[in-house]
Amino acid sequence: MRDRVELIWNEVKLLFKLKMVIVLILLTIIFMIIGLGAVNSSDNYALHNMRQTSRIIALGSARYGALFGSVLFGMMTIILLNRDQRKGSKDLIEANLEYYQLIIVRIISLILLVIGTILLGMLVVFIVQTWIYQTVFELRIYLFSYGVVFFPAILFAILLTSGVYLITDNSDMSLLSLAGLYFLSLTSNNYLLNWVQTHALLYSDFASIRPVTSFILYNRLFWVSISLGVLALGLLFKRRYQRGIYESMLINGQKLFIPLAVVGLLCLALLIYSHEPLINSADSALNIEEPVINERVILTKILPDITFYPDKGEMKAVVNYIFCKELAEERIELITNTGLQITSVKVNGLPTGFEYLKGTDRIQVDLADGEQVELEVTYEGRIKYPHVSTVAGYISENSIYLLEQSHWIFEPLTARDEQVEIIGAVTLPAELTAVPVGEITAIKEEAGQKTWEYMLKTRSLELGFFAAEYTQKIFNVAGIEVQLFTSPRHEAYLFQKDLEHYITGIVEYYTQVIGEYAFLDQPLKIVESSLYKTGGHSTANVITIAEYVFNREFTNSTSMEEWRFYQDIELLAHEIAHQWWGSGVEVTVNTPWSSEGLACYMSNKYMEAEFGEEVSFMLSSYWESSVRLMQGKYYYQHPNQVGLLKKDMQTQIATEKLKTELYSIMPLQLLKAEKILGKEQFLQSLARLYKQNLFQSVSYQEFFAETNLTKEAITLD
Amino acid sequence: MTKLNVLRYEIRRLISTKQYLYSLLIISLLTYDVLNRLLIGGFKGTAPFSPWSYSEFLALVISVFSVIVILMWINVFSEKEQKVRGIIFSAPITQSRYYLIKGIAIGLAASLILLVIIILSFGYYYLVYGFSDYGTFIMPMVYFICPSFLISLGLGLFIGKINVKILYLLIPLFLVIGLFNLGLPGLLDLTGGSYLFDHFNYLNLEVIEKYTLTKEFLCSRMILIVLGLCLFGIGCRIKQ
Repeated sequence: MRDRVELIWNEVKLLFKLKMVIVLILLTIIFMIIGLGAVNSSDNYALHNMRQTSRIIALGSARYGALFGSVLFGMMTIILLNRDQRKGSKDLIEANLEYYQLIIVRIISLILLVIGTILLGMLVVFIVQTWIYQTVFELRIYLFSYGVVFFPAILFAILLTSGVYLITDNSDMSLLSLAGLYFLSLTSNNYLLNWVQTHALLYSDFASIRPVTSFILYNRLFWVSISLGVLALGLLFKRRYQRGIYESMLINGQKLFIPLAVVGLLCLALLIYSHEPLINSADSALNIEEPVINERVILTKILPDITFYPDKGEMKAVVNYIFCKELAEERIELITNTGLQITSVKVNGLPTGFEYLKGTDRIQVDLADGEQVELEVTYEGRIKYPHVSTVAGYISENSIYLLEQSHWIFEPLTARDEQVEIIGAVTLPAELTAVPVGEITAIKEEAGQKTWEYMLKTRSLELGFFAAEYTQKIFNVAGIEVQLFTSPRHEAYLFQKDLEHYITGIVEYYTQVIGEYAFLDQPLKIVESSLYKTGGHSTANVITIAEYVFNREFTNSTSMEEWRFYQDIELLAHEIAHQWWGSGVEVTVNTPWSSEGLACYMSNKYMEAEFGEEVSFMLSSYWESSVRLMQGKYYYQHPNQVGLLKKDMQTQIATEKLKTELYSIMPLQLLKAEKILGKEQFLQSLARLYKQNLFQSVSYQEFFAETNLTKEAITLD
Repeated sequence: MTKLNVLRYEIRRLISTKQYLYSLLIISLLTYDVLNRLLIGGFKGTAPFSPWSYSEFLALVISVFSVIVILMWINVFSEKEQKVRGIIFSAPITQSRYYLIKGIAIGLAASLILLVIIILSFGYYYLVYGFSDYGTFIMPMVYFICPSFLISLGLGLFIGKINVKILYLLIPLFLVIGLFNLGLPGLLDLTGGSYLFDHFNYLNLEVIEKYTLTKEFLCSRMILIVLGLCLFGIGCRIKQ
């Protein structure tokens, strides 16, 4: 044992004598520092200009370090393992020493070098962050980022190149293999294959980091087994005494643990890959086809009772649904979340069976005969995502974010009463502020847990739920109680930019132009959400806005920064507009007609009123360019070619087209309608449309009837 | 005639190695993967066989191709090769001429790999889309192959002459610049990938349809070509 430690120590000393190692350490550290500013060079421009706290910049540093470090250390591994062959001393050493031992010692010494580099880099990053960025250095965040993203990336590079080098016995082939694996990692959309940087871009500044770390950890588990498997394969094929690959394998294979390790580790990797537990690719969110609804059954009431366990990332639910129908038995479907395991299904209090529809997240349940039926579904577990970058819901230590699309409350595919009554309760740790939809009717506290009871009448069945350690601010605008829930970490910016002034302005503008807020008896809740779901969302009387809108740092007053601020306010205005178009009046989707087009148009009108025509024109010109771009797209012009593509790409193209139609074509058509009728008259028509259809739905035809326009008249040239 | 024989011998020596065959295998797999996985949807909505998609294809593949060129140079300056250099230089051949022949041989062997990439891509386009108007790919090839190829060729020789260990640093350089959008300025954007990614968003439809590249970008390509040739020329002349 002592000899081995001495051998490792000698190898480490030898490594530090190489000038190349010093260059390698320096370069890795330089890129760790460059990575601190990575958020401002992200492809998602909305993330630029965020206040640079440890949580925002730490992952960038780890990612950049991994990006360069993995290739540099991979190369170093080959140079080191190839040294004896280059010097012609391999046979001599092999005659005196068990060569396996030397390989392992060299790998260990390299790993020690990596650890040293990371620690030194962390010290330099600490100095840079404290002196230049002047922000608090959160050691825990850095230790996690470097320990789980940066270090493993380099470790995998070392193990993989060692394995491939031992298999091929050729440094060029090993380097090319490393390049191939590197290419795969940087270009793949499958998060399990992103072994270098992982899929995660940055952490939320106020919410937990768990929504991204569970993916990172699973990715690391997969690559630990792959890289160790490849190394074991390398040890199996390592050339012995100038023999060929086959003969060497026969000799090496006599040590039984090596072939066993190869088979075991590679099988384990296969198992990890095939049993990926976090994603459900059959999620309804990715299915753009309209679901089939049983119109003979009418949902009248939902009674959800949910308990959250944020430290475990889990929830437990007992949900009762009340349906009205004809006497006969009916079969209905419910959209579920496959991460939530159903423990019991009862109809009118009696246990009943259910079955999953193959390849979907839907279950089928038979409702007994009778005009009123009560269905009780009990389930528990963790929310699954439709895709690694599509976050519809998560539960974590200090933040819960559950959009209706996550189906945390299973959605029955039936007809609905004019106003479905929701009477619910959520129980969670007392330190979290719960923001359910509707109105809170009671709050009870017991043993560090709080139960929040709420009720709501809704037509659209939008049941989001949000919770975090929020600061709540209440103010009144035009008779509406506005509740603003933001992170205490972002209060300074909120105050500095006086965001309350803009929220007030937006609500006043819509009240004045469109009409009175539909839910005067309920508060309008505006909630800061984490950046794991960018943009905003409107669900019943709650709107969520991603944290970057509340956490900016504008330093240079450039036109780009000014523009970013306008886009933030436009996002706020867009989501608030959904309270009128979407929640107050349900807009029956008939593409391009939907609530999105109206919300885009209304927010643009607010921007015009608040910042002038130039700003609103610039914002609307984005719609024009996106329409032109879509029209120029190959698969838009050649829809018959779409069949050549894989299903996920077909879905992506269809979604892009739909988005352009809803978010760009429709607002442009509304602008055209405004031009035809005159702004004042057009807005009056919209106000009448709103008033006449309050708490009901409005169709495209009704819009034309109200405005006396035709589809042809507003079609874009 | 002798020089031609030496060149022929050098090329044969390069392409008959298992490293070369492995390079061909890796680059062929990569070509298929890029075309079939990354660009089947077309680059930023253009047709998968548009000059823009082809430019993106070349920008991605050329980074690994440049690594192959650098590896060829590393072998030229390897310890094994250095040991026999004394014997070679005792023959009536100057150092400059020797490295010129080596450079040309590497250039031709690498061109053969390029040819495989191009033939594979043409075959793919023909088989999948029935597309055969390959003339539209000439300009992307000029803008995205020549600068990277020549700069890797020139830089490989120049740096190899100074210190072979520094040559290793070019490998991560080409890989990272080619595969990761660092938003680099023209001259540092060796493969042209950052330009395609960043600037495409600001282009209007007419420019996209006509495949017009900005003057700044074209200038940077020109400079890289000239720089590559100069480095190659200087590299040949530097005495070791």
